[in-house]
Amino acid sequence: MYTWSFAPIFQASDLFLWGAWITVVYTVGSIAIGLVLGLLLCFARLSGIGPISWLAQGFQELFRCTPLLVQLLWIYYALPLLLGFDLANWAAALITLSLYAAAFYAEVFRGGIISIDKGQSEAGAAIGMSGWQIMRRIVLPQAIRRMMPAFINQSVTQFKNTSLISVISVAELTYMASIVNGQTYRPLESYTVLAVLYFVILFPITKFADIVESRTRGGH
Amino acid sequence: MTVSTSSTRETVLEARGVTKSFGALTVLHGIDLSLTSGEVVAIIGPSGSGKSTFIRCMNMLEVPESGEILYRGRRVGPKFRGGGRLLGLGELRRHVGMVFQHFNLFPHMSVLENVIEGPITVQRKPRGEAVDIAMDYIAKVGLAEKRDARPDQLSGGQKQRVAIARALAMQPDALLLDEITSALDPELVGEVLGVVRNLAEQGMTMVLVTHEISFAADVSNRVVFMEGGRIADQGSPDRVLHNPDNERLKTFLARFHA
Repeated sequence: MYTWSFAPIFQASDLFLWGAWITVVYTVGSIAIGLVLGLLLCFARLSGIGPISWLAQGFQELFRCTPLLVQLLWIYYALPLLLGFDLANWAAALITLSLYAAAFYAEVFRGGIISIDKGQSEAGAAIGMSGWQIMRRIVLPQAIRRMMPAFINQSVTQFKNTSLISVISVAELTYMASIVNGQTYRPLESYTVLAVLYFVILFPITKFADIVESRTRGGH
Repeated sequence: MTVSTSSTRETVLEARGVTKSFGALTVLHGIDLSLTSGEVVAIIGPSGSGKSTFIRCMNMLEVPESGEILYRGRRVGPKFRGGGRLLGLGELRRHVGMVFQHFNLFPHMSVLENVIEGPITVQRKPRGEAVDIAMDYIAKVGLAEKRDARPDQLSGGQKQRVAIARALAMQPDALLLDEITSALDPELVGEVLGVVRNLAEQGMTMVLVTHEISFAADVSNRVVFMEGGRIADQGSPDRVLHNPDNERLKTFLARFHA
């Protein structure tokens, strides 16, 4: 029978807390950059200008159809050989997470925008609005409301995906758990605490997503 | 009423040889129509005759393949901003309003916000002035007490009256009304037609695509009968609707008199 012993783990609680903080920083940072890039990618795809639209779609497919871990390894270990200079692990991590997020957020944006009835754009055009005014004043405000559930779900995934950057030694939550395990030789406790920490952070967010989703449905 | 052919009246909007196809289907075979100031033109015809496509060409929501649209004698170009001798789409639409079959109100805005959107965003009017103008038109369509309501709290007839107020708040030179009662329950048609009748009496220049034949007879100066993407007949309401000599038109009208 296994004897649980959390005492050594709790002694390392500052490592877990720091790791959780770093995880939040990478999540928020990559979501922020990913949203901006994702919106640009989405506009590029909807631009109707062939080459720009294809390029954006190609980028999206590349990042959606390869594993995030492979992207991370490629950008950290392979890309520097082409660039001629090394990337710091934090930079490789942030770049990869952001580009990956952008590919998925672009699809969330695009889905929201094309779900808005064409009559809305026409009504804007009919009072003399420009394309950009229609997007900003009429389409996006409605589309953003509709895309909130998908946005929150994608962001929850983004939070969990940060665990992968531990393989290039970024000291986020998962990396810290492996450090604690190395020091205490207590993998069961170390990784259980790790899983519980992810859960207590994400569970309320997914509940919040459910509430938003039911409200969105109720509104239409 | 008689056909308004007086040359002293200014031409507001004109279509010359407008053609349009969707894929292999040619919807408009070269339509000419000019609209003089204060005139009310009703376009009637069977489904698929190209009426709606044509009225949408008049403010370039559909871009004609050939032919041209002129606003006060200036040819309208394909771009939002004008340039050289071409008038931009933005400017055309600031002066020529449109009301749609399915209202197309902005659901994330209140009644008042819907109506001030154009004056503020497009005409760059100060908010106070825009609200004054908007409330004036909202009151004219009889919805002053609904100023803060959301579109989903309104009946179809109320929605369409807000849509008319939204178009009027731009203080347009002419209005295009595309089957504006077709999506309404029968008991709500009257309130919308009443608003249009008032506009006609006040001299608003209008083109209306409609299935309401008796209303067309009542409110218009000229009736245009379209069939198969062409203007098959046009003239005074009395001649076109009550004494038709065109066989196709007779067949079409017989369905309404039955």
